[in-house]
Amino acid sequence: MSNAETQARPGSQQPGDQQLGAPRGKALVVDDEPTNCRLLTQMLQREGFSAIEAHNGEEAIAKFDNEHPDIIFMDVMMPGMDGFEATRIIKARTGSEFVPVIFLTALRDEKSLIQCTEAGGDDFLSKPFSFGILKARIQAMERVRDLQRSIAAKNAALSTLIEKDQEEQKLAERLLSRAVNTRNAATGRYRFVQRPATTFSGDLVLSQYLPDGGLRILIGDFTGHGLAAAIGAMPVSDIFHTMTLKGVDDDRVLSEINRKLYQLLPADRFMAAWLISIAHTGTTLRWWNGGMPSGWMQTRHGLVELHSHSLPLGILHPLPEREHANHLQAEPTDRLLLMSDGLLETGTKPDELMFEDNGFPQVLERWKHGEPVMDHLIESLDELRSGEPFDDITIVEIPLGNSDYHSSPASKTALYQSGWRWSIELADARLDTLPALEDLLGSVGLLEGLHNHIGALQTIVTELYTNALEHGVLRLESSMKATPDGFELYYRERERRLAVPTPGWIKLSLSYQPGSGRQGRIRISVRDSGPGFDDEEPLQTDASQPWGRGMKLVRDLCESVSHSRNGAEVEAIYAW
Amino acid sequence: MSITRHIDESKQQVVIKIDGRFDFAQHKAFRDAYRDIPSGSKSYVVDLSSTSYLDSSALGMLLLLREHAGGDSSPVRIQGCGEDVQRVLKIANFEKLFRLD
Repeated sequence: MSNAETQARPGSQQPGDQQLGAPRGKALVVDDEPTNCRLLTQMLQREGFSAIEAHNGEEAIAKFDNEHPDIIFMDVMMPGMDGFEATRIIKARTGSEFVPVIFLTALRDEKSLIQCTEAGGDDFLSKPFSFGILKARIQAMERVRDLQRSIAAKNAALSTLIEKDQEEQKLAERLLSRAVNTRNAATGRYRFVQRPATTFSGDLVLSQYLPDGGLRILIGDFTGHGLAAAIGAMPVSDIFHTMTLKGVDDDRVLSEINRKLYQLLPADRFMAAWLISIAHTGTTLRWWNGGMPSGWMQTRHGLVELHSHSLPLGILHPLPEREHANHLQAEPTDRLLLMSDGLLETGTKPDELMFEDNGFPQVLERWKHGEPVMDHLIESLDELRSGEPFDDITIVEIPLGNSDYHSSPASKTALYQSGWRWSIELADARLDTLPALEDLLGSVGLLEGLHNHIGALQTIVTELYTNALEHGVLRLESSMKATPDGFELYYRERERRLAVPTPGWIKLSLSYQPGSGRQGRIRISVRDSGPGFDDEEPLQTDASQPWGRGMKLVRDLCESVSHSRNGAEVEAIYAW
Repeated sequence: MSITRHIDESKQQVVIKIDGRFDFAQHKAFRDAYRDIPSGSKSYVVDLSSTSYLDSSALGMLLLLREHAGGDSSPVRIQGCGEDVQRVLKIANFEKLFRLD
């Protein structure tokens, strides 16, 4: 029976409105003696009750079901069903509501009185009883009933709140996983295990590629769990992914996350964090540890401890200058193990020592260079831990080494059949050297299927670029190179002109169009900021000259070469 | 598990001592130990010599005290840390925010 129904019932007693003459509710008087019944009924009516009568157990139950009394006075000895049995049945039907049953009995022996209580009776009065005692007992019962009702009302409100809170936790968990975890890249490159202490974790693992093919990982541990952590996790994830994809350096990413958390979180909340950036070679890494437990790198020469060297994020703004990321050189067989304090603080058997002191040191000790450690760690934790963890546990293991961090999402066949367009623009002092094509394209994963052609492409690009730089931007004459002295003069002049501020720019664009099967075509376009040439065909040269070989080479390698914009733009098509 | 405070009027200093575990359960008691003292009016000593354990919510509470005491220039000293407590404070690099004695 719900509380609302109870309160809506007409004539029922409300807490606090007990006044003389006010209705105190409905009383059920059960007695096989009609005189007793009438006597008690009259007494109760004078006290402000409406009263109904029953003369045996069965009748009492029927009246209880139909009339919903607020208090019951029960005789023990009755023909048919006795008071004990009737009370047992009635009490089983009252559910969460409290309907006091007071036994009225001529019996005075201890055993009988105990039996009253065992049947579910709340009080007993020995017959004959005085009017004064009855009044006092009724008031006591009413106090108990009012207390019970107010607790029931509070419980109902509380369970509604708890239910709502759990709903919100679930919603936040869904939002968090969508907004945070689904954006993670390269999750196959490292192993991680997360065990949240509550619905969802205050721990955070983020990973994303850098534009140069490197991998960046952030592991965060918010103070507290639940909604507060989720609210902080969203901007952290946004900043991390966006800035990493743009290639922003570690210090600026940390500073931005720190700024945001400082702005968002109250003074006692913050995020301890790891930030690891692994270069695409896999052997150079930068690490930053603000308030997380030490990480461990297993190297040929033993374990290297990467201890916390900075404040957690969100406490001080701006971050102190000296708390920059640290550089570290690694070998391809080295491995990195990072964790949140939830792991280390897990209690262990038999004497509640922390896992940090019992189990973890042994795992580290047995960890062999070049081998994974995660499984042993989890095994040891599960074997030793006592009870459930009270904090979120996060463990991340990262194998280092040059193992192509930029794994391709699509199958290789699909890559052969998909086109792309890529360009780079270099200006001023940067014009001096064009980075190797293999590095430029390889880092963004565009070389798939082109490995056999990279040599030829490199030649074409180098020649076209050099022409654009030397003749287009720097206005050097190839004919200078006709003599050995001229050669030297040419290159000295090249250096001099490049050193002059703002010499110009060159834009190199490559676009790949897949053909059928393994055939393909790459369009190479080089444009420079120079004014072009006045001659009609300036690059058409005599093969016997010691200069101008480059263009010939390009023409030999390419399907077609054409100039436009007065020679300031050249387009070559390489096909296979 | 208890938190006691002692105010030394001559030194304008408040000593807050935490016995046993310093974790979220102490939140109210810890806050009550300084909230009636006007912000920025006194210096504080947090005595952790009888503290057996410190969790991250305790770190948060120390930050709240630091804010109450006057933020960056806050004269909050933490003294008497045992080995386990010291370990937690060191991992969090709290020596950059508090004077650890």
